[in-house]
Parts: sequence; C-alpha cells; structure tokens
Amino acid sequence: MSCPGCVLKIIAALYGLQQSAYKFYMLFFNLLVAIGLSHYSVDHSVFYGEWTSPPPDPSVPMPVDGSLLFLIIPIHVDDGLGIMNSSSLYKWFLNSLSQHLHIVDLGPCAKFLNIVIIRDQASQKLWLLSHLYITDLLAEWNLSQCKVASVPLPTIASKSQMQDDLLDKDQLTQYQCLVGCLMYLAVTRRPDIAFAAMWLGHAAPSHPIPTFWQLNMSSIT
Amino acid sequence: MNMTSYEALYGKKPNIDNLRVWECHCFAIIPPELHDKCGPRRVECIFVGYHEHRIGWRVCDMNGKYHFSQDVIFNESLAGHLGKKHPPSLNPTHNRICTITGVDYSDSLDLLQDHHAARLQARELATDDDVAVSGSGGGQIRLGKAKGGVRLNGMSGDVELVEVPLRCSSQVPVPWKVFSSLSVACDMILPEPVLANFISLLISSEAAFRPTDSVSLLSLEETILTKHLWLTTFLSSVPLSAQWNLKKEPSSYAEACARLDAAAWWAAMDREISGLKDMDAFLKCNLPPGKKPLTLKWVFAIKTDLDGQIIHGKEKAHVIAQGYCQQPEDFGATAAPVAKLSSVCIVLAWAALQDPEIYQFNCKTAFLHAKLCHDVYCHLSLAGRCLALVVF
Repeated sequence: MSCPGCVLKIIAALYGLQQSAYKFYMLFFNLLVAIGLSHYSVDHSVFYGEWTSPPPDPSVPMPVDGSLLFLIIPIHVDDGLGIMNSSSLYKWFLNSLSQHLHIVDLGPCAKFLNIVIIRDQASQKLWLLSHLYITDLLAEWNLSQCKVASVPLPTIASKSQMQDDLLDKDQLTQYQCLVGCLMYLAVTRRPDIAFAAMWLGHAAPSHPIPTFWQLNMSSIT
Repeated sequence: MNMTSYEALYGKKPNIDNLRVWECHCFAIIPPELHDKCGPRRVECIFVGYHEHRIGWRVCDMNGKYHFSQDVIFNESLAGHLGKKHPPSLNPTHNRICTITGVDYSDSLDLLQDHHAARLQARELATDDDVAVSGSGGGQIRLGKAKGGVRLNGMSGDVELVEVPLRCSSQVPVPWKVFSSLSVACDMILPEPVLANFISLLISSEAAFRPTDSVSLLSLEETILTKHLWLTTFLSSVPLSAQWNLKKEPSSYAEACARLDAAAWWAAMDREISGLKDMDAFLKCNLPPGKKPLTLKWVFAIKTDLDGQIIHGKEKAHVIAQGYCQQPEDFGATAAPVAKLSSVCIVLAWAALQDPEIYQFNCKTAFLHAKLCHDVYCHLSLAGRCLALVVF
C-alpha cells in the first residue's frame, strides 16, 4: 500500500496552505462580480450591489415605494452578513451562489464573529454584545471572581504606581497577551476601556499588584 | 534567625520539589532512539542519587547499570530491589487506567490482586462464549466479549492473565475501547513478544474489530494498516496523567481519540473526510524531484450557541496542511478575505437606522471549492491513518 515516493497532490485549497484564503477570495469575488456586485474600494471584503428598475431576476419584485434594490455583503472568510431591503433578493442571491458553493442560510443575524447582535427594529436600535469574548477571556485568565471596577481607571491606578520587582519572562508574555486581548476589545467594540488598556500597556514592564490585574480585567465586564 | 543559610542569602526558601525518596522504585524513560515501536517505553529502575551539575536523577536499572535521566516516574511508596522484577505494580497501572479513560476500574484491579481468582474466573468465561483466537509462538491470546472485556492470556512472562474490563460508556468506539485497555494492560505488564503477537492477532481477527454503529469511519482495512502506528503514536504522544477538559476542543488527534467524547470527534472527522472526498481534494501521484511533501494535521473545534453552551453534534474537525513549510515558489499571492471590524460596525449601524433585513450565511467547506494553480504535495498518511484509503 505504501509505495515509496508516492504522495498526494493537493488539488483543492486546503485549510492551512498559504494561498488558500486568497484563492477562495478570488473564487468568491468572481462569483459575486458575475451576479452584478462589486466591492468597496476601502474594504475589499465588503461587497455591494444595487439595481434600478429591472431587477436582477424576475422572481425578485422591486420595492413598493419605488426605491432601489440594494444588497451589502461583508464577508469574513467563509461567514457573511447580508443586508438588503428585500428578502426575495436575498433568496435569489443565495440561490445563485449555491450553484457554485455549498451555502448555508443561517437566518436572521444573531451572532457574527462571536459578537451577539440584538436588534430592536421598532426603535431603530441595534446592540453588539461581546460578552462571549469577555467571558472566555475571564475564564481563561481565572478572573471570573474578580471585582468590578469602573473605567477610566480609578485613582488607585496612579497611587499604586510601578512596583520595583520586574515580571519574569513568562509572566511578561502572559501579561502582554492579556493586554493584547484588552486592546482588541478596546479597538473593536469597547472604546470605553481604551484608556485602561493603553495604561496597562504602558505599565507592562513593571509589575502591577495582583489585585490591580483583577481590577482592570473586571472593568470590562 | 529561624531560616536556612540559603534563605538568608537569597531571600527565598530552597526548592525541594525535585528531591525524591532514596532507593525508591521508579521508571526511567528509554530514549526514542533506543526503543522500537512495540517495545517498552520505560525501564524499571531504582533511584540512586543526583548529579551535582545537571538537572535530573541518577537511576540504576535491574541489571545494575547506571543511567542519568530527566524523565523518571517515581513510585516513592515502594522500595526498589535490584535484580528481582517486581510484581506488576498496581499503583501506576491503576492511575493510568483511571486517567486514560476516565472510568473507575478499581473493581477489576481487585481481580488483578488476586491472580488465582482471576485465573479461575477467566477459565470459566473462556470456555463459555468467547471468541478464542490461538496464536503461534510465544503466547496464546483469547479475545472475549463476555462481560465486555478483553482478556489476554500470555503464556510467557510473569503474568499469566490480565483482565481489563471495558465498562466504558457505550459512546466510546469499540476499537478504541480495545486499544485503551490493551495499551494499559500491555504497556507495563505483558512481555513484548506476547504483546506483538496479540496485536497481530487483533489485526487478523475481524470479530474483535467489526466496526459498530458509531464507527463507520474506522473501516477494518484501515485499522489493519494503521494499528501499529496508531498504538505507538498514542502511547508516546499522550500525556498519560492528563485529565481531559471536555469543555475544550482536543488539541491533538491522539487526545480526540482518547477522550470520553471520542465518538463525537470520530463523527466530526467522518464528516470532514467525506467533505474532502466530495470535493476531490487529492490526487495520488509520484513526487517530482525537488519537491517536499507537506504534513497534514487534524485540528478540532467546538461550536457554542448564544449562551456559550457547547452544541453537541456540531463538533468540527479539519484536515489542515502545515502551510508554514511551503516555499515561496509554491504559492502566489496571499491575502485574508476579512472585512474590517469597523466596516462591519458601520454597515450594521447604517442598517439599524435604515431598517433593512439582516441575514447571515455561511459557506461550508469553503476553501475546498477553490482550486490551486500551484503544485503542492502532501504525505499519504494523516495522524496515523492512511489518507489514500480514506479519500479514494
């Protein structure tokens, strides 16, 4: 069975290969362009399409109020959001993609990239909750019991400045890891902790007191 | 003062974690280059001391030879004796059985303690309804499913009979059950020729390995092909004392097979393999000169719902290539098709105001739809299983 020199040639873009993501993007891009969408020049992973009076497909009716049909598709590798003003347009979109790809419709958007999305259409509000990420973070760092503090940092931060003893190498890496997670949160969905995350980044080389860790971790819950 | 001079000098207490009971019974590791596939992994030793400038322990094996090793398992409750083999030590065996499968085997170990009773009982059972397979050479092996156990009857060696019952939950695939028990039983107790013989008999006996409901993936041919490899991979790569955290995905193939929820992971791997098969991801060919095949790996993931609860039955297993070994001429442009989070936020914010519909979709086995234009090769085997057999 195992003949020497015998190998498998990889034909499909397997996960893990350097070029896979790009190959998939080009495939997806060509499919979308073929059905009349184009990408935004500022973000190549967000596609849009709009149709005036002749709809893209006879099965798709035009909106009754005479506005344009539109479709916006942000994609994250193989996950995508579809924002449009007509659900039959969405069906048509998925159908035309399904001829080439194996597309699964996950229904109304509830969770995208580990962000929970809650809509209140009546009052035109939309919430993005990142509690899943934060809970994971707390669990991973054993901080689920930590105390809650308010942000920006309380005055204790400036009082308990830089301790003398430096963190050793492992601790430092861990600490930087944690600060990195916090910065991600700050940059993406929690601008309110931006100051705290930045301050922690500055304090990285010295050792903040342990309670201080907790203090800051808890600030994001 | 009330402190040692070390503490006075350095300001901390000396670390004595590495000190062991002198002359205690222990098992030193055999370096990989000195053992073969089915051979023992550790050698029985007595702890004799330390080395002044090296980290590790000096041990003396049963033949009176001295070794220095950094990887030694100690049994400090038992004093070592030179030149005389111990009866199969119950404590380590016990620990291993319990930790590997997470099932309490304490009853069966009572059996082990009383060899006589066990032998009698086995004889009774063996005559009843067992599948008896007689081996050539050193040992006679009986495979039995009476009481759901595997029974090894080695004629040579110190131990005549070992019974390791298989009272795992029914979710564990049968081959895995046999193997976990087998490895536990054989690793420490059975002499090597008997073990080797047993394995070859297992391979030839379909009865023991007829795949049941949940293990469609593990076809018999595959089992035969990969058994040796698999067993050794398992024994050498899984930390035996590990307790699996079932809330987390397994970090390796060996772990996925060893966990209590192994059946779910088998099913996930099954799905992935069938996906690969459907997409014709591979083509068998000869390696052109100058190319290096890549290694494939299993990667596992769990899916959680909105409350962070694990969705059972949606476990994911992916075959991935170790792309970091690729040479620049083996791939062209690379890019990540990822929308910026700020773009997503803007779009969503706009959607909240304008009140359109927001839907979500997902592309299954997405990457496999794209075809490569560069020549990339990979090895035939995947975590001990022969891909060629599975994929074609």
